[in-house]
Formats: sequence, structure tokens, C-alpha cells
Amino acid sequence: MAADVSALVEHFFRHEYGRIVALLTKSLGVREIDLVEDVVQSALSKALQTWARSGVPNEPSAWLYRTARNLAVDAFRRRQTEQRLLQTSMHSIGESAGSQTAEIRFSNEIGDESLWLLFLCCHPVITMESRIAFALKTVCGFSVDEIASSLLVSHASAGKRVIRTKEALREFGTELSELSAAAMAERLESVQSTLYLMFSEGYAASGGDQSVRTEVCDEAIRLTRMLNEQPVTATPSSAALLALMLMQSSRMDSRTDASGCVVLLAEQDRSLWNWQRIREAVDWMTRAAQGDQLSRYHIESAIAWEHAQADRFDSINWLRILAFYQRLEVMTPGPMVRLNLAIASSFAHSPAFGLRKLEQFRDDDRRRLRPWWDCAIADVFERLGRSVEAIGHLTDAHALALNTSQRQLIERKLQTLRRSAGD
Amino acid sequence: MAKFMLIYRDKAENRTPLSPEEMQGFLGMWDAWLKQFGERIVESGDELLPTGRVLRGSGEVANGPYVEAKEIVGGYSIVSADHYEAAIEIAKECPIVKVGGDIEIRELAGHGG
Repeated sequence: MAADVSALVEHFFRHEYGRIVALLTKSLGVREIDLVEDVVQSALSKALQTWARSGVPNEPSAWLYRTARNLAVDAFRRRQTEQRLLQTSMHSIGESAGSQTAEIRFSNEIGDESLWLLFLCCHPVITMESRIAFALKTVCGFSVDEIASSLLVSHASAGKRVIRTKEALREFGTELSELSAAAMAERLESVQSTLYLMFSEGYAASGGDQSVRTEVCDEAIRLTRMLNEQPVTATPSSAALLALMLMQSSRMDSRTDASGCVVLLAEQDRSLWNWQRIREAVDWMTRAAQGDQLSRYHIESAIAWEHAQADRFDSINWLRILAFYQRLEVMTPGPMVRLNLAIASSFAHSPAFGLRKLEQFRDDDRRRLRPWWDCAIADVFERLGRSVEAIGHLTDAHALALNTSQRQLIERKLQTLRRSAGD
Repeated sequence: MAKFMLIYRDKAENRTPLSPEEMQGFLGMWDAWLKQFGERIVESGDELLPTGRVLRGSGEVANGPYVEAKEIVGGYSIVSADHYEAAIEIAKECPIVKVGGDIEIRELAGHGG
């Protein structure tokens, strides 16, 4: 009867946590989310103790759900004898006992309960940072410690973000029954940006425990895959977002060298890129192209694809990339896009042209783009053979570096520049 | 071969609950331990719930498990080994010590047959 523990898929506990929290929250209402999290955690500990000794039951997911549900019923009974209240909640949890009815009803709307929680937290009063922390905790089953180390924040502030989200949900939250397909379609864009930011947080090669950060990217990809499996949310922009994430994550292993230092795109070993992921990304780009929607994710994945297509840095088609950035600037204007545009034009046209573009940045934008703007202009000066100015800007960039790996990278660059300037 | 009881002692303080991911990792370690020593683990034992009563010789009953130096017994297993050193070798690989718990090792007298 019992199966081997090694038969459990990777991250099984983590993903079951998210799934069952969502299922029970759906039955009991968002106000009970703390109780729900407690009982799911207890059910997992129970599984740990039991399965370690007598093997994994045939249907581990069903076992966990049943155990968590029973614990929730017990908790309610205890509370009920204290208060003689909450009859209705008991009813609703009783009805979804088999969980079949609830799942079927739900699948008409959105199909995956974890996604529902994600849509719930993408409420305008909840900040982006808090949404990500809440999604990692509740939808993906990360502990507060794991969130803290993956987002490079303190344990206290990771915990605060989760609590704030729960408070906001208690006050402003919508219950499942109220979240219609139309409301979901309305929130889709904000869910997509949350997922993209979650991915980017994990992707940023800025220290911390790299393996945990990779898992944040994987979770963002997993949730985006779910978006693409549901009729309401499987839009061309969701497909483009998935393509973009897959494209970027294909470079994960080549972004750092053996000693953990950052390797720039120009110097990356392209054979280390995960080509299977790139192929999958291209499939999703094809899907994204069906329909009349053009999102920023379409353009950004097209840029990533241009980079992937070139077999060396020298053979990158910068004119096409420049054209993409120009479209992106119209769609989502902002200093970061303009910076990328300036860099692309310095390759597509000339370093001098790029320099003029970079010099047009206002002081407050330069400040906001620290140290990226400083690095970009230093690079252009270097290519123009003006190493004194390059060294000057890199020295600024060094002082402004956001983390050690960035600082190391700038240091190396400075050393080579000084060496060649001294010759 | 003698039998030894491994008594798992938890430190009651500073016990942060394991994250789901850590639990799965722990489950894997436990499974690996049982496989590594096979039949030498006579009984994988059980977990003890944190509730309990202590009946004293005086007839007095106290609520709660027996707590000494902020440690409570959290579970046990029984292993077979030729001597303490061999039993310690098994205990050293037990996941309980790998997550920072203590294990008390006691030889069974064998009166139970």
C-alpha cells in the first residue's frame, strides 16, 4: 500500500501547502487564513511523522487535505463550544469535505485554487512587495525565513509584508464567490506584473543564497504556467510573459562563474545556456503571437530572443533590438527603458551617438538608475578610447554599487581599464 | 545482539517550526536512515505528543510531560547493535541529530524476552 518516500515529487510539501491553504481558505473565507495556515502546517508535520515510519499513503495529496480539513473542523468545534457561533462556516467546510464539489465549481472560474489566492492579493491597496511576500508564503509555501533570504530582506520585514497583506485582505478582501471571471480578467495585468517582479527578484544576481533565489524564479514560472492553463487567463500576454521568463532563466547558469562572480552578457559562454528552455520559450512566443494583443512582455521576450539568436556578442542584431526598445518606450515609458535604448543605440549606430543619448539623462533619472547609468556611460567612454572619463564614471559606480557581486564586477573592470591606461 | 533504545530529546525552547520544504528534506533523511541500517533498526518507533501526565510515587498527578532541563522526550526508536559504540554509529546518522536534537541511547536489559 505505502509508497517510497523518494516517490514524492520535488517540492511536494511546498506545493501541497499552497494548494490546501487555497482550498480551505476558499471554504472558510479569507478571514480565517491564519487558522488555515496553522492546520495545514500541522497536517504536514503529521505527515512527516507518520510517513517517515510507515511510508507514503497511496494518495498523499488526499491524505494531507483530509488531515488538514479534520484539524480545521476540530479547531472550529473548539471555538464553537466557546462561542456557539459559526454554524455557517461549519456547513460550508462540511460540504466541501470530498473537495470535489468545490473543485468543480472553481474550475469553471479559474481552475486552480492557488491562482485564486494570487488574484486575491493583487488588490490595489496592497503594495507590490507585500504581494510577492504573501504569494511566496501562502501560494508557494515558503517560510518567512526562506522569503527573507530569497528577497534579501530581514526576517522581520518579510514577516511584516505577509501580515500586512493578510490585514488588508481581511479588510478589503473579496471572497471567491465575489471574484467573477470578469473581475479576474480585470486583475490579470496586475497579477502578471506581480509575477514578473517576483521572477526578477529571484533572477537578480545579487548575492544571497542562489539556490533559494532560483526557486523563486521557478515558482514564478510555475504560476505563470498555471495562468496559461486557464481559459480566463490564458491570454497572449500571459503566453508572452511565460516566454520571457523561460528565455531569461535559460541564462541562469552562465550568469555567474565558478567563484560566484557575475559574468556580463558579452562574456557569457553561450553553450551554457539552457537551449531546451529557449526552444520552449519560442513555442510560447508563437502562441503569444496568436491574437491582436501586443504587451510589453511580447517585446521584451523578442529582445531576449534576439540576444539568444546571435552566436556571439558581435553578431547581435542591434538595429532590431533598438527598434524593439523604441516600441517598448512608447508602451511603458521610464528611465530604465530609455537607458537600454541608449545602450542599444550605442551598438546599433555608434558609441558617440549612445554617449549623446546618455548625456541627455536628467540628474534625478541618473540618480534613480544608479549605478547602471554610470556603468553604461563608462562603457561608452571606454569604447571611444576615452579611458580617463571611463575610469571616473566607474569609480562613481563602484561607490554606488548595490551589492558585493556588483562591486567585484566593477572592480575587475576598473583594474583592466587602469592597466591599459597605464600602458 | 543487544537492543538499544534511542530516545529523542527536543529542546523545548527556540524550536522554530520547519518550513514545508525542510519537512520534505527531513522526511527524505529519515527514509535514507531507515534504508541505510535496514534490519538493524528493529522498530522505527513513534513520535510522542507534547501532552502528558506524571504520576508520582506519592500518588500525586501532574499535568504535562516530564520536562528536565527544558528538554522533553519527543520520540524513540529501537535498534540492534553489538555494543554501545555500534549503536552510537547508527544514532549518529539519525536525522534527529542532524537537525540539532539530542539522542539518549539506552541498552535494553532483555528481560522482556
